[in-house]
Amino acid sequence: MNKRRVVITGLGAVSSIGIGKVEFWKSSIAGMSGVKEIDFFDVSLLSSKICSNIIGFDPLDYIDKQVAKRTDRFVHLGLAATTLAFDDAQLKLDNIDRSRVGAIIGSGAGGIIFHEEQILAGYEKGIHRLNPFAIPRITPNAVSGHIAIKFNIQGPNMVISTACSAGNIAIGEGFRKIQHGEIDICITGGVEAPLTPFTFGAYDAMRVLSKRNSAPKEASRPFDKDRDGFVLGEGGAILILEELSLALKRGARIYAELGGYSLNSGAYNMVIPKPEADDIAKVMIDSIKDASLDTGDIDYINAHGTSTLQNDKAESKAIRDVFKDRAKDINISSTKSMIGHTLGASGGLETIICCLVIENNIIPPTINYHTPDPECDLNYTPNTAVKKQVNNCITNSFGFGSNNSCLILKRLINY
Amino acid sequence: MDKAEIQKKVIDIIAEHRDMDKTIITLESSLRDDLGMDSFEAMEFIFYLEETYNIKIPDSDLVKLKVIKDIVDYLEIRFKENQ
Repeated sequence: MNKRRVVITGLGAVSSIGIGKVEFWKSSIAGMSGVKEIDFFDVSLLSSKICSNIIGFDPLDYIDKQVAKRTDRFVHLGLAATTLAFDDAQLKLDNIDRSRVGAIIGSGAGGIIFHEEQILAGYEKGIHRLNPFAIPRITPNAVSGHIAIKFNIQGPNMVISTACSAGNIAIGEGFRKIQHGEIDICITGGVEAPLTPFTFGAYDAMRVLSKRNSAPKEASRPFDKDRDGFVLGEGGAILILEELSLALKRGARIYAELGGYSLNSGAYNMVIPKPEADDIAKVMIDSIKDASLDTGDIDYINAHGTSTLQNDKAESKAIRDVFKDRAKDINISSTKSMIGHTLGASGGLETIICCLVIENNIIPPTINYHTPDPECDLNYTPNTAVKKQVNNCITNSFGFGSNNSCLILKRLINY
Repeated sequence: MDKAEIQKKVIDIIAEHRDMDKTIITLESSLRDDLGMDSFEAMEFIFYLEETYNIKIPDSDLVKLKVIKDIVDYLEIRFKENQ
């Protein structure tokens, strides 16, 4: 069976380093950090006191006041990013069979802000005093549901919740549904708004967050020898995927072809990546094969690169094992060095980066890279963006529970 | 609390939560037909009333509350019972 081809035609980013594709990209290639001190809840007793939050985002710029009031921040970010993506794609659904348009979104935590508030209200006022909108506001699929309602999207609708890989996997699943002919268009990506006392405290308790509180903008330093954990962030990233012939017919701007996807499990540990990293190596190889490419064709790797000791070491090993002699030549970057780790949104934001890398032939840097780690001995595109022709790239996402996912983006040729 | 006070408060709650102009809300306004509430939004409005007055409105009473006057009368009776 000839698989249908899938292209990316719209990008919507809401991040700590910029709202909208243009601002997000400019900050990415300028090496800007979105990390700041937390001043909106008390972190005095925690080890980490920094986060990558979005300043200047007003949900009412994108959504109705009544909807905004009844939805959690992750839905605000999702609806805003979807609006931006539709605008960017100049896509109107007026004459399209809406049952062939899907909304598949990644989110790790869902409406955790309201969840916390309601649990506290339940304890303080009694469980007979809970808000009737609590469940529809908290449930992770509130975001795909509200996207469907706002844009009248009647095809497959779901949220994928695989922690830090959720955005990447959501895009992959949307890709497959178009490829296999189930739908023609997919609104996909990832959203996360995890900056709450409980969630932040829980990550702090795991001792996975950076404690570089005295220099927030230098805290996220993937692959650097002095890295000490990730910086928790929030974000919304939505992409519009379309079947190639339809996108060409309507004269859409095509950023890239989504060429390959693979996911697997290391079946190892809920939190720690497998040190042998054979699972990560396999998922990368499988995705490259799925895109009908060879390892020699990959020009850029957008790494998962969280800035934890274990991830960056395991990911570097996997890249060495997959690309062998070429490993040190390929430009790698972790854009989490700027955006922080936005969990379920990260795969979406990083796929948007890859689209813009292919469009502009500029590779954003890994910032705060100063001291090489012998166990991370590759070309991480340190500190400054690099101009380079990029035709094919891979974006990695790995999530708690040993789950791994990769997407391959290709410059569109032969059409 | 007299009836006029209850009426004012009920209309304030609706205006705030529905983002509506107070002056168009009257005693005869129907929650569904005039104020555009679906059944779930009406339930949310009842929840805000319960929060404001620290009462619990049983399901059996909900069906009686169709227009603003029903709510004002109902609350007046409940307050008198509590006294």
